Amino acid sequence: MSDASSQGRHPWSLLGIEPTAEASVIRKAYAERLKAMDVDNDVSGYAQLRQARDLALRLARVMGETPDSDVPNGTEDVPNATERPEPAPPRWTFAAPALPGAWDEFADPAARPLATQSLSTKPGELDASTMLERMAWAAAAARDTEQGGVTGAGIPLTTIDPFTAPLLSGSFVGDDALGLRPGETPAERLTILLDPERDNSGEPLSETETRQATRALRAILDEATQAHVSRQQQIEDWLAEILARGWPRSAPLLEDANQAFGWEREWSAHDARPAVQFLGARLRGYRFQQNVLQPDHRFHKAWNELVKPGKAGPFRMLGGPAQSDVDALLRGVRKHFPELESHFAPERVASWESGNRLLTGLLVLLGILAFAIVVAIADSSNPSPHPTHDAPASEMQAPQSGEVSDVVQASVVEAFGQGRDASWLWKNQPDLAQTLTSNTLMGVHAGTDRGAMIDKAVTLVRMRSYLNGRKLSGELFETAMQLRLVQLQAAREQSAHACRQMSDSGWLDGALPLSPEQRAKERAFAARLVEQHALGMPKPDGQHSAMIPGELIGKILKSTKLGQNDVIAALNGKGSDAHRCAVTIALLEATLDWTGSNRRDILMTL
Amino acid sequence: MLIGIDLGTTNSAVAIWRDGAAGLVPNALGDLLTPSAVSIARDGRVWIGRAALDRLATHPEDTATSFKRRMGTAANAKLGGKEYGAEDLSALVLEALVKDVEALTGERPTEAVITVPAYFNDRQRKATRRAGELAGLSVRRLINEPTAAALAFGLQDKGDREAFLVFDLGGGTFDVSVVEMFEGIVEVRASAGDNRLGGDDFDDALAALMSPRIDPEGKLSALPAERREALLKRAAETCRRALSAASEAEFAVVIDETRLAATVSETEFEAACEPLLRRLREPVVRALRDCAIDAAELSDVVLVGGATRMPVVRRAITRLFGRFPNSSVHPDHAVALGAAIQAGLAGRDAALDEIRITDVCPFTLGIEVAERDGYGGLQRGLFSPIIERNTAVPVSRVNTYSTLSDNQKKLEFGIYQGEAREVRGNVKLGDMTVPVPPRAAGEISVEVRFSYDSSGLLEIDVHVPENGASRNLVIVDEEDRPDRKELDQRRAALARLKHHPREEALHVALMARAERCYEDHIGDLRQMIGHWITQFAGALDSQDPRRITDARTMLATRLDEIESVGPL
Repeated sequence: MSDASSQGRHPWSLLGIEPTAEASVIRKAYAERLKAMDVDNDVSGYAQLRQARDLALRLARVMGETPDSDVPNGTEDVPNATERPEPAPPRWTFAAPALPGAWDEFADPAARPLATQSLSTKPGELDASTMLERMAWAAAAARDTEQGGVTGAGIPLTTIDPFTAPLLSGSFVGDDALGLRPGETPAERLTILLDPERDNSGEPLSETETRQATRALRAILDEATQAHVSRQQQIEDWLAEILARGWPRSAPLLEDANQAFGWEREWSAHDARPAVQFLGARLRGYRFQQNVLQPDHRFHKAWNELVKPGKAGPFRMLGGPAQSDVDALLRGVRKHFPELESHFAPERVASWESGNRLLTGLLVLLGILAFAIVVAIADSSNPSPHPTHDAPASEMQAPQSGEVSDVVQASVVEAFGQGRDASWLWKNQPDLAQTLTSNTLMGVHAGTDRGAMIDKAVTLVRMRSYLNGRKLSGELFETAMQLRLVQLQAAREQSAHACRQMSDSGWLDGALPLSPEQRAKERAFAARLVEQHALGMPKPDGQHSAMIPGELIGKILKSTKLGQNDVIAALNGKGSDAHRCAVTIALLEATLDWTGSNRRDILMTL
Repeated sequence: MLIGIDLGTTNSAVAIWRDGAAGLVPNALGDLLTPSAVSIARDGRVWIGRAALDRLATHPEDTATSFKRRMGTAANAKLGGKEYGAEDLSALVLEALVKDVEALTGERPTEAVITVPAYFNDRQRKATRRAGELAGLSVRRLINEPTAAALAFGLQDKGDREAFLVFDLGGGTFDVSVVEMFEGIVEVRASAGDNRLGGDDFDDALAALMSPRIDPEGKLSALPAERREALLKRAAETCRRALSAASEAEFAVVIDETRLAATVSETEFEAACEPLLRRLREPVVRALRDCAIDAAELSDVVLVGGATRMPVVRRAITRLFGRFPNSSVHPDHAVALGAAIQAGLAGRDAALDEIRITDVCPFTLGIEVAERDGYGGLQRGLFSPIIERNTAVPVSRVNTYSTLSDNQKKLEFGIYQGEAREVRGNVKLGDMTVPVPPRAAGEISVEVRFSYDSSGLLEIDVHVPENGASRNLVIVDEEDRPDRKELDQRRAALARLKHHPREEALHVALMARAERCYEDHIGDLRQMIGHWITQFAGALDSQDPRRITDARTMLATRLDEIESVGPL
């Protein structure tokens, strides 16, 4: 694998056999070749041989399933073969992205492993009537089994739909203490309580519900400790999924489940399962929240201040928390528990934040008739999941199947236009090439659709050219800003939120509705950046501020038809998405037609 | 000659590959297992094995056991007034084993294959290798214990086997390996483990459960720590053994003229072990997940390691896998036999011509990196894996890294092993600094290559394409790397110890045992044992071989009688 020439080689020719579906033939050929080599002195030869063997075995399994099909060769894609009825969970070889928001946002289906995909039946199916049917079925199944002389635990594993329940044994008579209705298993009770599609799913569990949920969980955990390892794993996977899906309602249950399965030891691992990683981050946040609510906690005052709705008054520091504590709390929460920020009142956070940066300057400037405003944009303040794998570390020579290089190639053409290829990108912008390759590799691992992988690549390239555009100069900078206007307008057609997201981060999930000519411009621009080696990882360039002359403000007022206060708020990064979007576009438009002295400064803030 | 050694926490054993088969070598007492215990008196006399174990009762301050658990750490034990590290003590055990082979074959072995727990980290492996060198052995290869056991199990009939799982719970370490065998290839698919879990922990749990019960007045806590621990350890071990045969057993310690005892039931013991039994699950799950094999597909669960004899452990295993485990290999012998087979392989023995073994690296190896987070801050101390765990070895992998700040002049690599996302959760193996030409951030990239060989030796190459500079490092642990001179000094210190002549081994061991029995009993019985000891000592003084043999036989018979009455 360290030898590029090996990638194209047929596994069969390396093994010295004809393509076959017989695993024993492959193993025999492998054994013969292995015995003939000295692995310690031919490390790469050994790696190639093993790779060939593994690939051949996979191909053989596919061939065994489809006897009439053509013999696949090594360069073809191996379908996501789920050969066994119960596929063993694959290893998570990729790191999950940062973890804000809800599980559904986090668990990008593309990044989801095979095993949990099978669990991700639409939660919407779980309305009450379906659940009632399932309960009745489960009860009947259990009765049958009992009559058949098989103990409850003897239900064959393969009949268990992990989403329905890991628990078919146990109590099927109504149990008031558990809150179980007749025929309902603890697993079903828990599923209902945590169902994210439920009417009251926006509220935390009530006291009674918490009690029921805790008891149901206990029953499930008891079963798990008694069960054998496959079953335990199944229960664990199911539970992790249910709890992740049911977040934040599942918050009070996390600690118990964590202790039973030792998730705490796993979630700090570099290859933790996504659901466990997600729950780990939530639980740490939940623990922090529990602690900070204690009056003697260092940030208790700061926390109470930030959760109060409304703006903070000018004398907020009198009797309130210290500015340094508020800053530290905000920094800490954003870094470690981003989801906790949703507890804070945005206006209040904004007034505390502006306290140390903008407020004084703004007051002075407003006093001047020039009607100048300071605009500050921190370009990387967007906490949305960062989809790239932008660590300085990267796997240059990760094993690439034919499919990977094929998708990378297609992505390059889609992002930079015809005539470009992967080697061109590797030559000019290796880190980007690397990121695309590793993203694709992950995508292929996770069985992501080819189109989605290419879209993702295009989005990534767009984000980089968007963010890096601010640092360009001369004619390229001009082009970047023209393009920016087009992109923002297109995003606005989608929604005000999309427009704001685009303007904050250059990142937009889903396609940007651009015309073919506009796409062509985008491609050409990105390709130029690559050739100038200017499409590297976007670096935070701190904050930019600029004085905006009254002339431009006037144009904005005119074109947006907004009130003066709204415009000023939007320029300060406040107000609704729609206002901010409209003002950003208007300012960009107005500045591009303008030739004042700080034109560039203004554009840099956009 | 090349020998195979199982250097265990509780017991060690040596085996040789001869005439197309692996065979264990008996020690001077005729036993196939030598307890991993060392006792050193102030005058430099040294006891190894069973005699040393008996001296744990009489001379706890001079005796060390379970030192394998401190392998690869700087912790020392003080015996006979001098400090000895785990490597030194292990070297003494290894030396005793070497002498046993010499006594059997008339040839002193110079090379060895030594087994280590699969989940031993790089430091622990290096320490084991050094112990071998201190004992005058050149260590040809370190082989993972479950892999050795799998070899012994797999070669029983040389047929193909579907994936099976080796469950190796020893005195101090726990390993799980999933192994497959086909066409003469023994292939380890994945290993996982816990290098801090073993039979000793069950003893500790039992001692923690029982010591408040037998000792409400706190007599034990008044004793010196070494003596208290030795007493509890022995009481727990005896009691645990008894619990394997009966549903109740007595837990008893004798302090001078007082005997403290209480009865414990198996159920109570099992409850006390619950947290330990739960820790057995995780490595099993991880090994199976890593090789994508479902527990139901396993053809066998093979038990290895003395602690798998405990009924509580067996029940836990049966529950874990939903089936009865396979105990067709001897749990204490399989690892040493496997080591001898590996020795035969390494020596290219013709009888093993058609056998090959492939193993994996059970942990992830990588370097420390920093990266920018979403708010522009610098996150340091992140772990970037280069060799993922359970990759087949030997293996060589390369990753590329780049500079993070403008005009950066050097790159510092902390080299780590482990599974945590942040390096502070991992084991540090070393450091390396590479100067780079100053450029803008990200412009300089360096290639870091990790090569991991079949014995678990890691080598690192760093290459800077920009200026062609290269650095190479064979990883040695930083703080406890002894230089040549220090090694020689330690070897000399060990050589100054006075070993008992081999022909006296039986007397020496019997005397230690008699003294231990003296400690274990009170009242008339104790006086009687004291009397026998005096008689035996008199016989030894006479130097009359016949009288000595008679006295020895008599004393041994009497001690057997006393000890067969009941525990303690």
